[in-house]
Amino acid sequence: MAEIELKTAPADFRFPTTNQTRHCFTRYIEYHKCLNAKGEDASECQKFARYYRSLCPMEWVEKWNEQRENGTFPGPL
Amino acid sequence: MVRALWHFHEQKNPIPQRIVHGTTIEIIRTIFPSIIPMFIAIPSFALLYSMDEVVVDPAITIKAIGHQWYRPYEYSDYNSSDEQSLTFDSYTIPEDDPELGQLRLLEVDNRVVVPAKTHLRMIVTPADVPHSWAVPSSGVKCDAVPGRSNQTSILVQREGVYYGQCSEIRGTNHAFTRAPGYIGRLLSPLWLSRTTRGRGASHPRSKLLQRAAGAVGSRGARQ
Repeated sequence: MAEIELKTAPADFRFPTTNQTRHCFTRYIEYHKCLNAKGEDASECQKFARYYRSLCPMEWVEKWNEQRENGTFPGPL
Repeated sequence: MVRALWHFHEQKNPIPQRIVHGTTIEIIRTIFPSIIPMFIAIPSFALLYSMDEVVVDPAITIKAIGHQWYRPYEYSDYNSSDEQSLTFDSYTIPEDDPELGQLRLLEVDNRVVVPAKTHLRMIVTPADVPHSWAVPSSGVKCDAVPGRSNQTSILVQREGVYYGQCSEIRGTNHAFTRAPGYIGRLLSPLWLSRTTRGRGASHPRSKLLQRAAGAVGSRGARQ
C-alpha cells in the first residue's frame, strides 16, 4: 500500500471562525501580490496558490480570474 | 416555610398575623437572581464562540457546493492549476431506482469519500439559494449561505457510510426525488497511512487523484 501525505491549507489564526470567505479571498490576493512582486515563475508563490485552491470554490476563482483579465477585480492586487 | 408553619399554627397562634410586606427584601430577591445568569453567561458565551474556532490543522479540505437540487464536491488540495480539481456531482438516487438494500432518498450516485481518523475541513457554500450540509451521525451541520463560505471541522472515528440530508428548505425538490443526500464513505486502505513518500516514488497527488477518481467513478452516475 503506497504512502500518501495529506496536506491542505492550514488553519489561519487571522480567520479563526466559521466564516472563511475572507480567508479564501485573502489567500487569492496574497498569491497574486506575490506573483506581481516576484514574477510569474516564483516557486514561493505556489504555497499561496495551493491554499486558495483548497479554500475557494472554483466558481469564485474563475469569476475572479475573469475580473482580473477585464481589469475589474475589486481587490488590492 | 418554618415561619409560615408558626404563623398559621392554630394552637400556638390562633389569630394568624397579617402577612407583611418587605419591599427591600423583595427587590433584593428579584434583582439578585437576575444577576446570577449574567455571571454564568460570561464564560458560557466565551465557550460558545470558541467552540467554532478550529484548533487543529486539518489534513484535507473538501468543498461542498450547494445547488438546487444536487451537490458537487471538490477536492482541490492537489491542484497544480485552477482548472484541475477533482470534482463530481452527487445526486440522490430517484425513488424508483434504488437497488435492493439501498436506503430510499438517502443514497446518492457518487458518494463523498473521506479519510477516517483524520481531521477534515469541510467548506460549504451554495451556488444559488441557502442550503445546509448536515451529517447527523458525524455531529455536523453547516449552513451554506450565498456569498459566504463556511467551514466546519470533522473527525470521523470509524469507517462506514454516513448519510446526511440538506437541512435548509430550498425549493420544490428539497425533500423529494432529486434532493441530494451527502454520504461520506471512509476507505481505510486509501487514506489511513500518511507518511511521506520515498525518493523515486511517483507524485502523491496523481496517485491520490487516480484512486479517488477510481473510487468515485466506479459508482457510476445514474440520472
